[in-house]
Amino acid sequence: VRPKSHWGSKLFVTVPLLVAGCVDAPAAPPPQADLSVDYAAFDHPTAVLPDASVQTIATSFAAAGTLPEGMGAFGLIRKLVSDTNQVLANETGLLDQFTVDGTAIARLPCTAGATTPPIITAASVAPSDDSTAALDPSAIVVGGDAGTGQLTFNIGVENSNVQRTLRGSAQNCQLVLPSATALPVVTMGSADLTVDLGQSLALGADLTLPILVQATHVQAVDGTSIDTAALAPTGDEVRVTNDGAIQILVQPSTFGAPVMGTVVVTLFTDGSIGVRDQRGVWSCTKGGASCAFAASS
Amino acid sequence: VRVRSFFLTGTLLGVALALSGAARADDSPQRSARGTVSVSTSENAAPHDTQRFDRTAYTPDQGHLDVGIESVEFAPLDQLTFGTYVPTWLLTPLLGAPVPTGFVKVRTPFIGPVVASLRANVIYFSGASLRSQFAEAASADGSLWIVPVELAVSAHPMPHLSESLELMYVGVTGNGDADGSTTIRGSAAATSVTLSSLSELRVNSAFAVTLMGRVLVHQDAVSVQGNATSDGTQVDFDLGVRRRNSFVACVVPGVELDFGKAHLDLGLGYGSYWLPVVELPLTSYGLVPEANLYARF
Repeated sequence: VRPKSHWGSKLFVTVPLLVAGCVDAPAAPPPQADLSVDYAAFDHPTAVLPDASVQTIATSFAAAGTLPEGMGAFGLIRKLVSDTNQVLANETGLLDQFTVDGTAIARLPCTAGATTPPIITAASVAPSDDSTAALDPSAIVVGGDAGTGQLTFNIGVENSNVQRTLRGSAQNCQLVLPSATALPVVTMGSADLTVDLGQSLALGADLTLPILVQATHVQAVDGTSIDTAALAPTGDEVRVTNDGAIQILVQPSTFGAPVMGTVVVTLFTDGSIGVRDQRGVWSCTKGGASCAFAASS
Repeated sequence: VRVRSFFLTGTLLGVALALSGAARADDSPQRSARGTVSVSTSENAAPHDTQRFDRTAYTPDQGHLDVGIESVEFAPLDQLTFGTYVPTWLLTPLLGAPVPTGFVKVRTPFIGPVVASLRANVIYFSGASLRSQFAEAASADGSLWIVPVELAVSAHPMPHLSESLELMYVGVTGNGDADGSTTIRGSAAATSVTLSSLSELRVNSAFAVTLMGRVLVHQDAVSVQGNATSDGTQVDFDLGVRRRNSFVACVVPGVELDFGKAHLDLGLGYGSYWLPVVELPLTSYGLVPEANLYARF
């Protein structure tokens, strides 16, 4: 019989203790503010427009000129979300076998992929009472590029889906300030942003639904604070579609239409305009000279 | 480090092992024809001549060298064994760099009816070897450590029957970066605990039947931190990746054939397949092969 060594038995106690530490894996963040009601309001306008009022509204928005494609920073939000979603999908791979939770912070320069002109001019062509009149357009004209501008978003991932609502901010970016009672204003400034994707987005999936963007604490580059609550019933909210069009929820009475409720005005990148009420959609040519109606199915 | 690289690396090892005819890289099988061996003060605790060592607490006799398609190991003492895995070295041409592996196993002396052992394995993937996991990357660097630690307990309730239980902890940690269309930098970590049972009924000196069962009793989420830049969007992420199915197990009946110094273990069962060497289970269910060929000197 050989002599027995007992030193090994000590290892049985110490080694498991050394390796017993657990990995502290991140979990999904709590859901952000619920904007689903606001989002749905764009899908269900409440007003029924007289035909004559449609052209008035379209002409009014056409007078604002062609808004920058993708509406500056708001349009870039779609790119930010899409890029981030693809990165996370690439990183976590094998998605059918695993569930992913956690957070991501995404940043994108406001000038990335810019199709906007380097000099941004506020467009304020209000036909009637203009609640943004307090904004001096000349004060928010910004020259040069927005090299320091950046979008920053906290993106929650839950059960392998990007959470429906995201929070973030825009610093020194081109912002759209829509109004339920006036035409939208495009300005350079900073704001806190909340985004509703319409539904949670599976990792790796394409972002196809319009996204709702809500801006709060808007501040122009000259330090002027902008009261977005006064701009629209739900604050400064727009929806950005997959093709870069902007949807704005407006009150037709602002434009002289003798009806109550809301309609959705869509500003397409080619300058054409859509007006949707409870019954259907008017598609108006660039300039709003003529509109064709198609009833909702 | 991409999560998928963990599993791709493990899969690569698994394929290599399968091709080489080995399914389990652990302890090489030396059964003992161990002449002088196994000093036992308790008849019940001592292994008989052809006792296998993988997934048991038993160890080779002092001075014995085992050479197999899974591993090469040497026992300087009855209670101590060192070794390395063969397939990881064979992968060198494929990965472009060696993948160092090693293990040490210590066991208690035979002082009662039950014997216990502790075995620690280390598998290290260098940046060079990881580079092959980023085929699309212009460059890649980093490291990946996989550390399976096994605590085993064995007993002979009857002269020809051996019963063993093994608890295996696998720690995985890594970091790295890759530059390509997407620049990635990050780290990841994961742990899992597997409980195994091996029953071995020896029919005669050349033949035995076995029944192995394994169940994943705990697995932390893989924790992945890092950052990536894609098309101007910079993403800092902190994610947890969890397995979807909660029950991961397998049952594998098999046989042991002994031809003098040569030994062959074969088995075919059903359930989840634990990747050899890295000891991480696949999620999907299917046939589970077990094979090992080794010689003892």
